[in-house]
Amino acid sequence: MLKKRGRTEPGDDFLTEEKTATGDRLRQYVFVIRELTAREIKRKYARSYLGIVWSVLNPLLSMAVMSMIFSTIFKRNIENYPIYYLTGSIFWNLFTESTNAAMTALVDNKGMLVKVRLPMEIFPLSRCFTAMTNFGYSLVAYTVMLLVLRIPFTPYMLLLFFYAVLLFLFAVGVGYILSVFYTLFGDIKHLYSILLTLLMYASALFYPVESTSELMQKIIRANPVYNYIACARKCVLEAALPDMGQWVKLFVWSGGVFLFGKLYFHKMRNRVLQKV
Amino acid sequence: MMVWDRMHSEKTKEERALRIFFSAFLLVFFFCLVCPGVSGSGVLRVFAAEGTVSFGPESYAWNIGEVNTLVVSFHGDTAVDRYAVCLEYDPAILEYLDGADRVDGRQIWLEGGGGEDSYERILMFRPRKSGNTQVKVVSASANGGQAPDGTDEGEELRMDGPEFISVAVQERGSRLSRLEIGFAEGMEEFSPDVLEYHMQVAYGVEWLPMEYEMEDEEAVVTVSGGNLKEGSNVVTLAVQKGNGDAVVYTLYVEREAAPAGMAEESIVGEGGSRTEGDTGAGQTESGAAGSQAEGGTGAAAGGNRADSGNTGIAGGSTGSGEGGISDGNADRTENAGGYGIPDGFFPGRTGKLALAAVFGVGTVAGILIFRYWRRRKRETGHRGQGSEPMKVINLDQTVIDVRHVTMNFRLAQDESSSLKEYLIKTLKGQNHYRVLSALKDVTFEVKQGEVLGIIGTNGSGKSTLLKIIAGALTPSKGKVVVDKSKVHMLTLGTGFDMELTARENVYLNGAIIGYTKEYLDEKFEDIVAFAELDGFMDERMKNFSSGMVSRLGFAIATMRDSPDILILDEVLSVGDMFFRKKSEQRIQEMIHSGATVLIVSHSSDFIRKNCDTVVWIEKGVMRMIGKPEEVCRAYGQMEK
Repeated sequence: MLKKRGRTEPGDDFLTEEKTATGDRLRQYVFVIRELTAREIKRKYARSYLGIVWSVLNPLLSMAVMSMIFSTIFKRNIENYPIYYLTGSIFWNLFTESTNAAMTALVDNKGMLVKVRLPMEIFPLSRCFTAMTNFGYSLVAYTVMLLVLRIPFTPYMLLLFFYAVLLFLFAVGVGYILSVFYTLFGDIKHLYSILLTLLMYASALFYPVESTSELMQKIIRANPVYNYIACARKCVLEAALPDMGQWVKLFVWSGGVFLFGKLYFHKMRNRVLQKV
Repeated sequence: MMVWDRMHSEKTKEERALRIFFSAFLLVFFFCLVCPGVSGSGVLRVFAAEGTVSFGPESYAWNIGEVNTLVVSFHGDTAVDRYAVCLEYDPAILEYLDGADRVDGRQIWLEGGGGEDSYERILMFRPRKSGNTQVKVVSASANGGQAPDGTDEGEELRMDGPEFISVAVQERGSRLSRLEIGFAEGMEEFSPDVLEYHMQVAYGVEWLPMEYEMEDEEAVVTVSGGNLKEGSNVVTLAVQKGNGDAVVYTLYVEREAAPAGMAEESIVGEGGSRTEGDTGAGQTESGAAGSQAEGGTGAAAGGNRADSGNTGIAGGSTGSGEGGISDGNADRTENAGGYGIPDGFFPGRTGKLALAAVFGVGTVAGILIFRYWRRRKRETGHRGQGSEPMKVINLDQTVIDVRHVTMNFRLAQDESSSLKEYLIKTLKGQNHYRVLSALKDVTFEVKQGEVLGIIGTNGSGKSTLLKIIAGALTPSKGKVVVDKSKVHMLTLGTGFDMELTARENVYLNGAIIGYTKEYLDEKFEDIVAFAELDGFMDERMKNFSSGMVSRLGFAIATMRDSPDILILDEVLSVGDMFFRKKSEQRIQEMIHSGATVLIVSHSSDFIRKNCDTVVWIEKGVMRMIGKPEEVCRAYGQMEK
């Protein structure tokens, strides 16, 4: 009889390395995010005749109304008050839209989470990209407003894009954390809307910081979102760079919150998957 | 968790009691109803059938340790309101498991009724030892024949067919003719007929090196549980022949606990003895390494390898074996060099530091060399397969290895999902969780190209298992070894958005399930053609019928070339009759394309037709694994 022999191998021997190249995978993720973002935007105006035109028209009209109101009814002694307000407002909207949408991203897509081999971050991230795209449309409207109100264009204004990217990172970090919270406790949604109101009044959207009490000024300056808004206003209205403290805050808040959010998100991955 | 389990079992006990009570009630009821007017006219045929064999043979061949089913069918000429059948078996050879209404020593009673003219009952047995035995029909009666307890309430009925079934119990598969295990102490002498062994290994032994020879050339050996933990371990060697039968050798391995406070000198001493290089020294050395440094376990594993390489010399004649030997020796000398230095070279504190450093570097080097060697060994192993006439067992065949997977979900005792309640409860210390075990210690393996069906009632953990295999969930205990980049779960219409057009949804859904844009551009026409939706693609999906939606989903999902490992979770039968035929054909193509496939389906027919092996999971516990016929039948019986 022929003998056959063999020897055991340590268990994991047949586990082979991941073959897909990192570049290919990244490209695929970009494609997925693009498709998801396109979906959000398309469905937003899906039932309207003007469709995608609304994405520019809507911010433009609301900006026109706002500048009318703020330049006639609530007249303040701020130069170019409409632009002062609009700059703050588009940044604020970027932040609230992305965090609010990212918050529910995991729950809304729970069907997909477990079935599809995609990193879970893609869902909150695509929501943030949607907000970022809307921010882009708002910028078109914003440019129109700048023209109408005869604000001179300066190269400093290019910094707006840079600030937007930093704010985006910050919002993504917050969005990650919120999306995990939201899967664990549904109440966060309501709690967060109240927190946002509070944060909005601490962001000095309508009034100059200097007009408030000393304590309030401290609070406002501590608000990370205000920091982005203040820097944006500075580059548009004063054609100036932020000071050292502001630079540091910009980077630390964006980098710190983004990294923390990402880590937290990864740590909670299993809990979330079990919950949804 | 304990509480939950207990609750659980109580519930099933209750259920069982209820069922028994209910059937007893029915029996009495029919008895009263039928008794007066019965004239014993029904002719009862009793015969038995088993699994894959054709219906009604008179003898069976069963294997030791396997769960076998015996089907007893009754056919009455007229409707049978009540029947009672008594069978006799030999408890010395067969172990009765389940299926009967009543067991009385050697006698098994099947009782029931309900007005149908045929009945099918399934009995489950597990053979204890080899030998020949019979399952005899002692009595069979219907419609008021002899009462179950023997009191004559009616006439005894005629009986057709065989009165007994011969069962030959044999050992299955092929056996091992030699088994040697390194590092093990106190193991009994190996004999091919003895299936269980006990042994101890020293602390730090991570893995059991084994050398074995098979009696049959065709057989394949599958080892599970080879990675050792502290305490008791069970390692099984399944020797399997082509027909799927396996002889399972079970090794009970006791691993010693970590030695407390091992003195540092002893390591140096042991390091010295390492150069002598006998197996015993290897053991103690690896134990010491385990307690020494962080990388110590790796070093221990490296040591293990070296020793098994040595063992290889004794009987090594295959190409891979030879490759292993020389490399194993290289590894060993490297390690010896690493340990050789500390022989009283450095005195005092700096000496200890240097020792630690050298030890660390040596360990890392050992691991690196070990890895390199392992890879080279694998390569030479593959090469050897081509040139040598003797086949080397390729354990690489196993593509999915599910090991002792337990999945617990934590459920809040009363699901509040509100932050306020959560905070209040946390403050009060009332945050109790109920642990729901979705899977309990599930272990099985799937080979390359195997089609594995998973059956079980709803909520018994099938989908959880698939999610774990696909990598979406991480098990609470145990692990699944699988190349996750190869796993693909077929999902239909994931992420479809009804507000978008069909065209947009093709790209959205395609992106989500992993197609690139170029691929979708290329295949778009094919998808439309397969889904039969030409001319509808720029229509919004919300205007589609549900059939159209699922057709599109199916067309996109199955457009891909078959992946290496395909998971199908109830994706069959989509659309109208014609499309269903087409889709079934597509699924069949995917299944039989050589891919390894996992299928969850409630269609027994489909499972029987397409699977090589079926796993039955019930309430998180793996009840059965085996051939589709047997498992499906046992499952079907449970459902009744």
